[in-house]
Amino acid sequence: MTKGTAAEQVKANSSALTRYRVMAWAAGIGLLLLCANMFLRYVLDVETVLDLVPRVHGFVYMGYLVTVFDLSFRMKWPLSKGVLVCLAGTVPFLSFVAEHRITRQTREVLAAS
Amino acid sequence: MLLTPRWVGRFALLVMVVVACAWLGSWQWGRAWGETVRAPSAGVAALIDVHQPGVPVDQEQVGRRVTLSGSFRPDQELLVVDRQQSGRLGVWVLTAFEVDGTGATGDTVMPVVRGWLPTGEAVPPPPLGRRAIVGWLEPTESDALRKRGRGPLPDGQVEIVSSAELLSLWQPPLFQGFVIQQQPQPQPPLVGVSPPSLTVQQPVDWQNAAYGVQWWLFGLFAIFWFVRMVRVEREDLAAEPDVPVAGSLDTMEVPDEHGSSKG
Repeated sequence: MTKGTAAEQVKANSSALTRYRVMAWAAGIGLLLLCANMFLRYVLDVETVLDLVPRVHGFVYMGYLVTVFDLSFRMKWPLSKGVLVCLAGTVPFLSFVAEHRITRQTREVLAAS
Repeated sequence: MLLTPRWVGRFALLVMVVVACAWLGSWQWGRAWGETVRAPSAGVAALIDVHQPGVPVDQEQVGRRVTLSGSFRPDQELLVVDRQQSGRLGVWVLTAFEVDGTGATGDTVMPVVRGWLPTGEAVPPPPLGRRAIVGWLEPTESDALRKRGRGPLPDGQVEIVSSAELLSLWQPPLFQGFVIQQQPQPQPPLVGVSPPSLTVQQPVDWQNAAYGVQWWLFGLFAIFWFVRMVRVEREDLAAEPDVPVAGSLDTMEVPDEHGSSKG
């Protein structure tokens, strides 16, 4: 890792937090669209434009994992926390709750440093 | 240094995740590309022109329609169990067919699937006398099709059409592989069997292909995460003796890992 001033570090970590938040929202919305798609496809048996969602959602989730990974090492999370945040991205609505809590916690830590 | 129970446990977890991802990935990938794809070859060939005794069925000739003349041996017949036909479970009726003009000491036998029957139904005897039949040439079936843990079958029943197994049950000489009878069409209660090697071409399912790639990426990501954890741990261990416990946060130049630590 490169060295930098404390202020630069805080700034870099804030950007990591922003990236995480963007991806958490993208993955969270993607997951809801995925559920909607599955309902339409397997329960109502209709084809919609949402049939494209399953193909891309995995890659969006992948992006989400990368931002969690980045943030977890920056914030020195224990492994279990990183894994739980990753898994939260697979449960509808829980990803939004997790995003809210992680954002609050991370801001507190960044403000204190 | 990293051989603590915690790290061994983490490594075991990593291995499990990677194996699971790899397996799920290849499963989805396999589903995306479908099964064997082969268009039926148009022409009908005499069996002996495309397949000789003593050699496996040529890959190029699998599913080929062939003519055979000769006669069935009514006393050499087996039931191949667990065969699906239109979603129903039944058996294939497999009968030895002596092919005329093959072999110096006696006619060589080709195993012929005469048709499919629902389980329990009485097997009609094969027609007697010399005749010509047309059927699809199939390679010997793989042992992988056998159900694991199945007990021995009653006499007269087999699980797969295996050339090696048939050699021990029927009088040699035998052709390798077998033929699924197409013409004359099997008479009721026998039902015609469609050849497994001629599965219809399936278009590539991009959704499954994408899922496959995604699973593999998840596996790679787990490895990446683990390596990063090991590196961070090593850096921390190496840095431990030199770094004071507290009080370095107010200095201008601090190592990165402290810039973000809790104040």
